[in-house]
Amino acid sequence: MKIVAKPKTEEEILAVVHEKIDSKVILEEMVNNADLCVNHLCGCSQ
Amino acid sequence: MKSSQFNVSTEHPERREAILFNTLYGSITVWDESEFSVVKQLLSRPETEIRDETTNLIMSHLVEGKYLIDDKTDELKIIENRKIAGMKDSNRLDVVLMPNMTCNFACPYCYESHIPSSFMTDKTEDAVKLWLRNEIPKYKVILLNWFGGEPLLSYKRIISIGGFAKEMCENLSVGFMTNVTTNGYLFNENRIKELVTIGIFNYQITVDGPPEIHNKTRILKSGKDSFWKIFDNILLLVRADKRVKISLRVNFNHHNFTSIPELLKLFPDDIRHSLRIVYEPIFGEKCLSAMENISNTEISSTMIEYYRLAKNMGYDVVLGSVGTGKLVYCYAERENQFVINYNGDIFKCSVCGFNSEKRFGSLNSEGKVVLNEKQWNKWFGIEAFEEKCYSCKFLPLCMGGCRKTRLEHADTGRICRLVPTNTSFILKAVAFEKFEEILRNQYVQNFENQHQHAYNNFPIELNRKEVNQNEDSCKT
Repeated sequence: MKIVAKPKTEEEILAVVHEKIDSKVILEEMVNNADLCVNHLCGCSQ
Repeated sequence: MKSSQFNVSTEHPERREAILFNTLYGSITVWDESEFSVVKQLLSRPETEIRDETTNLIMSHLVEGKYLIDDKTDELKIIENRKIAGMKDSNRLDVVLMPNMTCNFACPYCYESHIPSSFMTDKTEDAVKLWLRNEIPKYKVILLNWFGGEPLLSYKRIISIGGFAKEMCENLSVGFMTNVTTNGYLFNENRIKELVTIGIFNYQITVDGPPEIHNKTRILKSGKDSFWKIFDNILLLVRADKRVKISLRVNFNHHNFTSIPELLKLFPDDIRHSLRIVYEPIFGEKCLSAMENISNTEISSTMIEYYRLAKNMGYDVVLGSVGTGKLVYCYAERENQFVINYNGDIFKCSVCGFNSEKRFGSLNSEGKVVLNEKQWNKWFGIEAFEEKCYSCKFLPLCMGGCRKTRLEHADTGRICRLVPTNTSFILKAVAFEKFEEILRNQYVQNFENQHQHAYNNFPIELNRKEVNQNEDSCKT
């Protein structure tokens, strides 16, 4: 058995909407996570 | 214990392995054949009595990876909560500004109805600024996207409103991210310098193939070619500032699909890392639509092949991982998201006719949003998900599909928007039945990263077929 990815917690997943999160973290998340595409007019509909 | 509703697995006989992925929690585990037979047994009958150490170990991992969950866990409630959190996200304001609804191009596949002289007035600009002045302090991050029409036809509005927003965000320590979707024709050195100064580092520019192909669809209204002017502007842009990133979008159908590799060869090596490649099938009229003229298998296989080619050639290719965490299907589901047209009309979705009769509201001269409550309530009044979504294993990756489609096609039942246009790459993969392939690739990539070990022989089935050259009355 090889663990490729561990499960995310709800806390991690909902961190971007948390009232105490820093704006830099939100921006980093947007840039680093392509599934939350920054340039969402590219057609990816994120 | 019970099995999670969101386990997806794919077996790989040649490697004698199987990959188990949970779309809700994002866990991925690779098992060898003998382990996987136990996994399947435990997932189908979690209450099986465990008699040996190996089975016990596998059971522990299935619980740890949340493939097996507590009987009381309501996974559908978890997804509903994510969606509500995303829709009500009060940390970010998403704004799409359309300073005009006209264009200097006459692309045959464009879905917009352009109106000559449809430019934002000083009065509307003032209203937008007043609105931003009130709104920006409420958020942590502002996303300002310039769209049109062709936004660079309203260059001064971009500088004026964009500069205003940037300065306000800086003064209030609010995160600011901004981009322009443009045909790329109207840049020059001075403009680029000024755009970069107001923080616009992200651009989306469409190039539909090498010159002889591109010039058939990306035509100026005057009938002139546009390729080399756009090409030169792309070079100017990325060489002006290291922070500039261009999403190089290729809209494709049966006419230009196979010319993409030739296009990729044209851009010099030193700028390729600044160009993020995005391939999008053309939708709309039957004679131009990619899906009407090329088989799904051909589209999906070739896209994967061309993305790989682009990556190997040094372009930026970010397809999105199979990891989970999506909160809404698209930006239009967010309550704090507004598409503002040149005349102050407000919409939710940027893919529409922008008919004033169907607007969701408007900006008044005092910079206040006056909502069309009927439209607004209709948009947000539907259930979080359609009934059929609740039994779909891919729901956490999709989050319910296109809201506009759901509203428009509620009576026909055609509400699942797992269609391969204007969705994320992952959802395209699901729609094209290529998800398992992507999952296998993801595993190889992650494993390579973790172990610095090359697994070059992981097979990708590229079932290339002849492109369906369905010649008809199309002129392009």
